[in-house]
Amino acid sequence: MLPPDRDAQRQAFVAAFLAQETVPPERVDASWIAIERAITRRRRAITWGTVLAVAAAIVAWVFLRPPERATAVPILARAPALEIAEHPRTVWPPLESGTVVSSPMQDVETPPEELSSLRATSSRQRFDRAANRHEHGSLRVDTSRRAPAPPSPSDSALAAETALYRAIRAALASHEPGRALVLLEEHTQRFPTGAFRTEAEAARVRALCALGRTADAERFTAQVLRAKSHPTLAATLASACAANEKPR
Amino acid sequence: MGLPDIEHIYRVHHGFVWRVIRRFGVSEIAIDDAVQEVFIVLHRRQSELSIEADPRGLLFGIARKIASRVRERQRPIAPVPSECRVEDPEQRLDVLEKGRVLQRALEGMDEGRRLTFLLVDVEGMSVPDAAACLGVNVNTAYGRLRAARKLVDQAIVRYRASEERGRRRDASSRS
Repeated sequence: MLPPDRDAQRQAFVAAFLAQETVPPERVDASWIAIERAITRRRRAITWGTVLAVAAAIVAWVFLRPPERATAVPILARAPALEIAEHPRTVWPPLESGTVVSSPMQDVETPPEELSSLRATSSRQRFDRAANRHEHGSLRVDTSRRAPAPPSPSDSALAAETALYRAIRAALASHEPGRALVLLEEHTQRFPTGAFRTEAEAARVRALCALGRTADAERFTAQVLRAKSHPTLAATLASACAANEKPR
Repeated sequence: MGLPDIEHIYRVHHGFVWRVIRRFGVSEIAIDDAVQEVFIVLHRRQSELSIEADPRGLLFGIARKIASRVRERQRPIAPVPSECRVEDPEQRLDVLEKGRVLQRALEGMDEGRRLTFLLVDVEGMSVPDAAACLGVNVNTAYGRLRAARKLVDQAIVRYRASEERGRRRDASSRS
């Protein structure tokens, strides 16, 4: 049996056990060096990771942030009207002398007493005066409809018809009734319901009379007057073909 | 309040971690790596430490997990007694024998009793602290400690008896 001081006996065995379990100091030191290296590596990794994360966040913020101009662009896109309102002289095209400026003046709320004096001035003067009033805040100018509209197809057709009618008149004026008739045929083909149809019918009567084809002119006049009323065609026939009848 | 210095904890508790790792059956060649891993993990979990609290509880928990992980990777090797640093040959023999007696007694216990005995009687922890480390009730820890001490005492009695028999044999052969 273990003696009464068994706790002391056991402690002696524990002490002997611990003496065996003692780690040599050089192993302890070597182990600490390895631990220190691992801790340093970990600290570096954390530092670099933090630095890289911050750098990535900055780069992302700089390059991937929602563009502030995204909201500004539509405002700028709508801005021409605003700019025109603020600087009407720099945005509007220069006016030629004699040009009638109608649409801007329609938008200007002009007092009736100033209307007569405005009518007496040139269009450029009227425009300048209206712009000055806008700058001084005395008049409200709505410039939203002042942007020049692109030419419509009907405008280009009218221009072409006008050019053709001018050529017809030039041919008649230069005593080329044959050429005028050819151009009139072209006008009939291209612009059967054109704006210069009435003028073209009168020109045709003059051309026929100039060629001495009075019967054709009379027949054409009768044909037109049967279809519709023509205010000057009969008078044109009478005056144009009168020269043909005198020699007879 | 600042955190405790890891190096200081290492210097004070290296032996404790080393013995715990060893008691968990980690082979001699892997012990140093396992001990280093314990303190690296402790550095990572430094925020769980406090100046006042005994870090051995945390160290024991970390060491236990690491030892079980290391054990899975290694073939089971019986713990080899480390070098005895006692200089006197007579005393050295006595220490080796006594140490071996306790070693054998511990090997014959189940893990619960062995760890309770190691933490309380070898490492000097209080029973409630050891119970907290092992995750058991304090009364369970007391019961395990009593049973372990009884087994150790029986091993010591057997050793004393064999020692007495040897002495008598020597005396009879001499006469």
